[in-house]
Amino acid sequence: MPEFFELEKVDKRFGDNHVVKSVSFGVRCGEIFSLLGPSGCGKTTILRISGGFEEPDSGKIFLDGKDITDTAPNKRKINTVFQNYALFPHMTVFDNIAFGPRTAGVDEKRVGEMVDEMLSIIRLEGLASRKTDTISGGQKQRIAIARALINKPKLLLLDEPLAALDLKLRQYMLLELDRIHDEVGTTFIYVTHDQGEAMSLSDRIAVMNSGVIEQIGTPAEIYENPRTKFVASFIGDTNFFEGSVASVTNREYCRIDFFGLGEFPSYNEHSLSVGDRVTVSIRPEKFRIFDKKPENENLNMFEAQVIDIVYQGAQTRYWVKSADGRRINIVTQHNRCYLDYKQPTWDDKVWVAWHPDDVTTLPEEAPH
Amino acid sequence: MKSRYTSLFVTIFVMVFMYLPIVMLVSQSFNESRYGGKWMGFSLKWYEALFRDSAVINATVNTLVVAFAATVISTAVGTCAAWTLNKYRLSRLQSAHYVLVYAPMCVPDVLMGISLLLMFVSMRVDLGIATVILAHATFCLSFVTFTVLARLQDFDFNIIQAAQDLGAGNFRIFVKIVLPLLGPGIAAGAMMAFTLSMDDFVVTFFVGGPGSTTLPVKVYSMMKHGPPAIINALSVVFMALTFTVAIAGQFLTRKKF
Repeated sequence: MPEFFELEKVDKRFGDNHVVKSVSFGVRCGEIFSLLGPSGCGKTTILRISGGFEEPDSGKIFLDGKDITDTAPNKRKINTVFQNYALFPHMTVFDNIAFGPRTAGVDEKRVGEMVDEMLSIIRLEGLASRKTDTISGGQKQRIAIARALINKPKLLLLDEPLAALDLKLRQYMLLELDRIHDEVGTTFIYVTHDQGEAMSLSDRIAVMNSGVIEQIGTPAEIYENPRTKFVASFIGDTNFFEGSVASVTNREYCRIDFFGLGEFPSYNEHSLSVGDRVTVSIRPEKFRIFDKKPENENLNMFEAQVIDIVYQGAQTRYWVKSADGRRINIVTQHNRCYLDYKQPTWDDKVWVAWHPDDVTTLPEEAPH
Repeated sequence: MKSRYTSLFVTIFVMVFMYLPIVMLVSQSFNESRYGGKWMGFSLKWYEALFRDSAVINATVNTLVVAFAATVISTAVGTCAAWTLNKYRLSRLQSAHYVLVYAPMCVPDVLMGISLLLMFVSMRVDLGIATVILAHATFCLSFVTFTVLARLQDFDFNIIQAAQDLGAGNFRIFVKIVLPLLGPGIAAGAMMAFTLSMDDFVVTFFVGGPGSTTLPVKVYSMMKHGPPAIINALSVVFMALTFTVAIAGQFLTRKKF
C-alpha cells in the first residue's frame, strides 16, 4: 500500500549542524503519527520541512502520491498548528478561523457557516467575537487547531501543541485532540518530546534521536520491543544489564551471562550467536518480588535486598540491590488490597524473578 | 500616606514648572494689551492680525510642506532601516548600523546644522526648501527607526508563517497581517518625525535659504520686529498644531493589540 504522506531520504544541515540525517518514513491516511524525541533531535525541523517552511538539502516529500518537495507552503494541502499558537493578535476568534477560507475566496455567507461548524467541533461557540488576547491558553490552542482544520487539509501538522499548557489542561486537551481527530478524520503528524502524550494519542510513533529515526511502531511495539538502547531508555523506565551470549539453546532461546549476576535463559529475537555482546533491557513491571525462592522453574531469579520503597497508590516502586551491588528498579501493581497482605519492607531479603520472554535484548549498536 | 503626598507635591511642582510659561503665553495671546503684562481685557485681535499677515501664512505653508515631505522620506527610509536592523540583528554590520542610526539623536543640533550646511555648500546645492527637507529627513530618520524597531521587536514573526500556512500570498500577508500590526508603530514614528520637523529651529536656520522660512524661524525674526502680541497668538496656533500631532502619536504607540 502506498503511503499517504512520505518523506524519502530527507537531509538537512544548518551550517555545521547535521539536523536531519537521511530520514525516510511514511504516514498512513487518517492516522495520528507522532515524532517523538528529545529537544534538538530534528523532529521540529522535519515538521517544518513537511509544512514547507524549510527546504530539505536533499530528499523528496510526497503527499497523496504527488511530489510536493518544491511546493510553497501556501500551495500545500497541509496546515500547521504552531507551538505558540501564532494566532493573529489583531483579529477576533472568528476572523482568525475565517482567515483560510477568506484567503481562498470563499463567499462570506459560506465562511460564516464553516466557522460556526469549526467552533462547534472545538466546542467554543460562544467565543466568536472575542479578541484572542482575552482567552485562555487551552482555548487559544483549540482555535489554532480550528483555524488549520477549516481548510480541510489532507495533513495536519502539530508542533508540540500542548507544551505551553499546565498538566491538567494538557490531559484534557489530549482527550480533546483525540476526539477532534475522530470527528474530522484528518491525518495528523504530532511532534512532541513528551512520551506520555505520544503514547496515549498516537497510532504509530517514530522515536527520533540526533537526526535519525531510531524506531517506528505502535506505542505498544515501541514500549515492549524497543530496537535500541535509546528507545528503551527514552520511553518509560527500564533496567539495563550488560552481558554476552553464553550459549544458544534453540532457535528461540539463548542463555545470556548477566555479568556478575549469573546466566539466564532469554528470548533470542535477534538470532544472536555465542559470544555476542548485548544489553538486556527489563522493564520495572516485568519483575516480580517473592519473599522466598519461588518454585516456578520457568522463571529467572536472583536474590536481592530491598533498599527503597515508594508507595504510589496503584503501584509500589522498589529499589533493590543485588549481591554484586547493582540497583534494580521494580514496580508491582496492587491487584489486591495493599494492606491485607504482608509486603516487603526495608532491608528484607527478597527474590527478584522475571520470565525469559519479558526481556529485550539489544545487540551492540552500529554507530550512526 | 507620606509618600503619596510627596508624589503629589512633585507632580504639581513639575506640572507648574513645565506648563506655567505655556499658560502665560496662551493667556497673553488673548490680552488686548500690545506688550503683554497687564491684563487689558479679552481680545481676538492678535489672531485676526495673524491671519491677515501673508508672511505668516507663507511660513505656515512652508512648515507644513517641509514637515510632510521630511516625514514621508524619513518614515519610508526609517522603516526599512528598522526592518533590516531587526532581521539581521546578530550581524556585525548591523551593530555598526545601529550605532550609526543612534548617534544623530545625541549630536547637538548646531553641529548637525553646520555639517549639513557645509555639505550643501561644498556640493554647490542652492539653499532653499529642498535642503531644509533633506536636513529634516536626516535627523527625523533616527527617531522613526527606533520607534518602528521597538514595535518590530514585539512582533511575532511566526504569525507570518501561520498566514502563509493558511494559503496567503505575500501581498495578502502584507495587507492583512503586517500592515495592521506594524501600522500603528510606523504611524507613531511618522507623527514623531512630523512634530520634530515642525518645531525645528536650529538646523533650519543653518540650511534654509530665501523663501524657505518656516514658522520657528519666522517667530525668531518677529521677536526682533513684529508686535510681541502677534507672536503670542502665532505661538499658540503653532503649539496647538504640535500638541495635536504629538498626542495622536502617543495614542498610536500606546494602543495595544
